[in-house]
Order: sequence, then structure tokens, then C-alpha cells
Amino acid sequence: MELNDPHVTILIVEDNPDDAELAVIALKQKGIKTPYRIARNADEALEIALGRRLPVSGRPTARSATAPATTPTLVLLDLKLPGKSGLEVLKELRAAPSTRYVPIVVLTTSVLEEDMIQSYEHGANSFIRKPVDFSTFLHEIELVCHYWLDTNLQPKKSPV
Amino acid sequence: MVGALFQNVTILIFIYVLYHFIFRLLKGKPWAISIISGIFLGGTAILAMLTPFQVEEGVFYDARSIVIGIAGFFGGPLTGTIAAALALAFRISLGGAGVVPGSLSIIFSMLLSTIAAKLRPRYQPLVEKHKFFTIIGTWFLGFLIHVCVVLSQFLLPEGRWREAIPLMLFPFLVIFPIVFSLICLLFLDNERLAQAGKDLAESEARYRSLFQNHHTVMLILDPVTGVILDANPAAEAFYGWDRATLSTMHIQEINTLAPEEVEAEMARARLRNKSIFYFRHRRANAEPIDVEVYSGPISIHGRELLLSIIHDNSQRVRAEKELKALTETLEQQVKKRTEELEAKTQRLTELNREHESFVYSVSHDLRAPLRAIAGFSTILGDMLRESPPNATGQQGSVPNRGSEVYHLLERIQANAERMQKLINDMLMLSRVGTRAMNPQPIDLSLMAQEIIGEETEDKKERHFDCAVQENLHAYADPDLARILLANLISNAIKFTQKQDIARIEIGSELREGKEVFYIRDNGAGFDVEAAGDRLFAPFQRFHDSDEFEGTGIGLSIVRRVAMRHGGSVTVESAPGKGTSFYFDFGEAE
Repeated sequence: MELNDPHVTILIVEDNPDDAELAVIALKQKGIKTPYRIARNADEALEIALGRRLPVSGRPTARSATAPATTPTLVLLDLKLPGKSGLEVLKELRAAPSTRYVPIVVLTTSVLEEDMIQSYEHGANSFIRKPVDFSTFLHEIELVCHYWLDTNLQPKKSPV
Repeated sequence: MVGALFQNVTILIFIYVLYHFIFRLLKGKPWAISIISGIFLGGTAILAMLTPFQVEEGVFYDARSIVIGIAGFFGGPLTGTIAAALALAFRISLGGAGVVPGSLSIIFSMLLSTIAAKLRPRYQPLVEKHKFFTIIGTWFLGFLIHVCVVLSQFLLPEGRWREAIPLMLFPFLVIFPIVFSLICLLFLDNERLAQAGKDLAESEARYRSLFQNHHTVMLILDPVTGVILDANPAAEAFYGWDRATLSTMHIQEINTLAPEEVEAEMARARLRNKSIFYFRHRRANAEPIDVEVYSGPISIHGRELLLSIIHDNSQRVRAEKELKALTETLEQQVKKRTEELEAKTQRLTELNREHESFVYSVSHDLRAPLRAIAGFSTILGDMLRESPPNATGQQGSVPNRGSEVYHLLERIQANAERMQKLINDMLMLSRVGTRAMNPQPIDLSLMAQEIIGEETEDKKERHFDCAVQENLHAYADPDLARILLANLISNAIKFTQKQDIARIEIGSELREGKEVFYIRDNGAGFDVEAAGDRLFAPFQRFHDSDEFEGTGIGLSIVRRVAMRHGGSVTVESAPGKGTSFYFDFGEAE
């Protein structure tokens, strides 16, 4: 399995479109050409990652049907999401067998130590405080994403 | 001779009894007693002379010396003199050979006993201490009198003493002193009884007067039945019943307690010698009154009674009640205030929390657009660099002023960065004010060295001359102290950037009797007077931002850290003269 394998995807969970775009650009600039999907909230994220049914919230939509799951290779998770928080997403992904070992990088603006501690406690692999400076962001994204993608892909390279 | 002596002794006993009869009869009239007893004792002496032991015609012996001695010793000079005069007259009238010695005997008896009476008070303490001394003393007096009587016999005419003295020697020097002593003892005993009676009468009178005339309300009660036996005028006035009425009453009728309880209290008063009670007493025409009663047993005519002294206690009780009410009101007020304060404290804590979460949200929400501005402008710059505007003239939509575009993009980024710093400092200021403190001993010297090291690391091109005093110890929260120190040190580094050599000094000194830490630099300095109160307020800057960058929040953070420890920060500075900051962490520990 290669980085460019169509089954390899990055799931970006981010409610702020600007931030999402910055993340996408950062990935691109650092040569990570892996396909990505963007989830705007917790439910979308869980739907994509686990194929979970969206709760019918009054809107008669076809999305209430079960969508096929796309188990991500790496998750970039913002903690502050509208409604259900990123921490909830983290917990649910860790509870599901298919995503139990998927590397999850928490990307947040939070400066509270508590958020970092809780993130790690619930199984986050990395914790990045989104810097204002874009070059720093680039550097951090490169470091963390390369590390986890390589790690996650490594075992599958070995002949089983 | 023995018969005659026996007769004499009989006479003496008779006079003793008679004497006391007279004494009691004339009680309280000392002059009359003296004169009557003088006459009486003189008569007794004469009686004794009528039943003598006759040696020969005109020479006879009898107990007159004893009688006169008694008269002088107990009656005093007047009685003695009267008795002696009578006896003397009678003896002289009898005449005979023994008239001179007989008369002398009377005079000697009188004189010696009177002198002894005068000396008596001096030996009184000795007598009271040793009963035996009374016997010896009176015997000695008797002996002395009779020695004189015997010696006066030498004056008998024609040497008749040769026959007389041997005859009288035994009765006069052996028997008579003993008899004298015995009679004295009888008299003394009587005297004592009389004195005791007098004491008793006096004390009773004193007590009566005390009871009657005292302004204190007093009752005498039967301790068992509670019958009021006596009441003084003060009691009459106090209770509003006269003595006759009170005498028909029981204390149970006056006391507002139940009769059984009153009886129990009386039993207590009887058992303990004296007790204080607090009762309410009824009065003839008034509401029950609070009284303080001192009750104790008293013995009157052999009866064990109870003396009760009653004080009007109503004012005190009222004062106590008022005081109690006042105390209760005060306590309630304190309680109310405490509750109010607690509510306020809680509200403040809530507000603090709200404030912190507000600042946190604001900083979070401000940062997102900032990140977008910084990020996109960077990306834009990168894109322009990859395909420079107007390099080929094909991208006409981009102005042909490349360097200006980069410059403007840089300005956007610099401002984003500055805003980022502002947000961080604001957040810091908020958190410094609200975070929990954990004060402990810290090595300020070490901390300062570390911070200087960190702060000067990326300023290798500058020259620093830093002096940190050793062993600067403080008791403070380490994180907050570090924030304070870092702010002041970075300040010093910042404002010395124009100096060839930046001098920074950190130490401690005594200012106004208090040990304070200081950090001194040779930097730009500023006008303290002009800065005034705004110096430590947030967002205040005293230099052009072109000259020295900064958010203007640093000193607010410094002051807040010091204040949270109960300390303070002061500054001394002048433009071009450098700056000294003084700070302390209060009296913690």
C-alpha cells in the first residue's frame, strides 16, 4: 500500500472552512497527495469513518440511509466542533474496532492544558496547537502527518 | 482554831453568793456596784473579825485579809478602799494589843490587791494562754498579802509576836493563800460568765440593730417549713406587707417557684453554709420581681434558722436580657453579613470563571480569522514568488509592483503576528489573575539566570552585562513568579537594545524596612510622573511601537502576579537614565 493508494485517505474534521483549506494546502505543499475528506462536524466525521447512520433530524434526506464507511488512514481532528465535540468523536473512533488503531492527530486552537491531557487520555496520537504563523503550521503538519502515515502504512507493507 | 477558820471559810462562800446576787441586781451601774460591794465586803470583813481565832484579848486572827484582798483585786480601788476603811474602823474600835498589826494587815491587803488589780491586764494574755498561771498568780498574791500580815505581827507590843507568829504561821502562809486563790478562781469564773453574757447581749443587740436598721431586705425563715419568722423594715418596704402580715406568711407564697422547689432550695441553703439564688419574688402590689438571694443558716436562741438577704436584681436581669437580645441581633447580623459575603464570593468566583471562559473563547475565536489572514497571505506570497507578477507581462491582473506587493503582504503578516501576541498576552493576564496558586520557597536567582539565558539566546549580536545577586529566595507560586520575572527581564532586554552594553542588575535591598527585589537596567527609561497610574494598566505604552515593540500588557501581568501574592510593584525611572523595578511577594510565610 502506497501513499497514493486510493484506499489511503486522510479525514480532516474541521468546522472552519478556512482552517480546512489551510490544512489541505499545507498537506499539498508538503507533498502529501493522499486523498482527503473533510467532515464539517462530528456526525459527518463518524459517518465517513464508520458508515454510521446519521440521526434523522427532521430533514427528509437520503443521507439517513447507511453510507459505506471509508476507514481513514489518518485523522486530523479539531476539538472545537459545533454540537458534539471533537473529544466525543475521538472516543467513538477509539471504541469502534475498525478505527481503534487509526492515528488521530488533534489539531486545535485550545491553549488549555486540560484539552491536551484529555485528548491523550482518550487515545489521540498527537496534539498540535494550530499556530497563527503558516510556516510553523506547515512544518508541524509535515512532521506529524509523515510520521503517522508512514507508521500506519508500514505494517501493511510487510508480506503477510 | 480550825473551827474558827471553818467559820471564816463559810463566811467567804456566803459572801461569794451574796456578792453575785448584788452584782446581778445592779447590772449596768458600775459606781453603785463599786460602792455597794465595798460596803458589803467591809461588812463581811467585820463579820470575819467577829468570829476570830483569839490568841488573847485584843490579839485575834481571822479571814479579813482575804476579804479585803478580794475587794481590792476584783472591786478595784474604790471597793477596796471602802471595804478597807470599814474594816479598819471596826478593828480600831475593838482596840487591844493587836490593833496596830491588825490595822496594818488590812492596809497591806488593800494596797497589794489593788496594785495586783492594776497589773492584771498586763498578764491577761499569759493567763489566757496558761490556765495554770491564774492559780499561781492568785496564790502568790494571797501569799504576799499574808507574808505582810505575818510580818506586821512584829509590831505587837512587848515581843508578843514570839507566841503569836508560830501559831499563825501555818494557817496564814499555807491555808490562807490557797483559800484566797480558790476564792479568786471562783470570782474569776463568775467574771468570765458575766463577760460572756455581756458579749452575748452585745452581739444580740448588734445583730438586732443590724437586722432592723439595715437598708438591705432581710428575712428570717424556718428552714424546714418556710415560715417567715422575722422581717426587717427594709423587707416591709420592699414587699409592701407589714411585719405582722409577713410573719403570717410562708416564703413559698412569695417565691414564684413551686413550693416543693422552694423547699429543695432551702434544703440546699441549709446544707451549704451560704448560697446565692436567683428567684422571682411576689410583692403586695406589683409584678413579680427578679431577686438575688443570699441564704445561709443562722443560729438564734439555739434554733437553726435561715437568714435570707434579698437584693433587687430586676435591673441586672433586664440589662442581661437586653445584652442577650443585643448579642443575638449582632450574631444574626454577623450571620447575615457572612452569608451575603459568601454569596458575593461565590458570585465573584462565578464571574471570574465566566470572565476566564469569555477571554478564552474570545482569544480562540479571534485566533481563527487571524490564522486565516496569516496563512492565506503567506500562501499568496508563495504563489507570487512561484510566478512573479508581471514577470512576463502575461498576468496583467496583478499590479506590476512586485516588491510593494511583498511588502504589503509582510505588513499583513506582521500585524497578524502582533495581534497574536496581544491575544496571548491578554489570555496570560486573565489567567494570571484567576489560576490557582501554589506558593512555595523558590530560588529567584536561579530562575532569573535561566530566564536571562533564554531571552538572550537569540540576541547574540548584543552585548549584555547581567549581574544576578546570589541566594535570592522568595515564597511564591513558581509559575507566576517566573511569569513576573520573565516579563521584567524581557522588558529590561527590550529597553536596553539601544545601549552598546546592556546592563541588567537583579538583587534585593531594604526599602522602607521591607526586603524587596529589584531589577535595574541602563535602558531608555521613561517619565514616571507622566506615566502615572497608567503604567501598570493594560494596553498602555510609553514608547513608539516603531522604537520598542510590545503589547503593553506585560506590566499589568507583573503587577497582577505581585498583587495576587499580597505584594506590590513600584518603579523608578527617567528618560535616558534607565529603569528600576522593585517588587515583592507580600508577607507570605
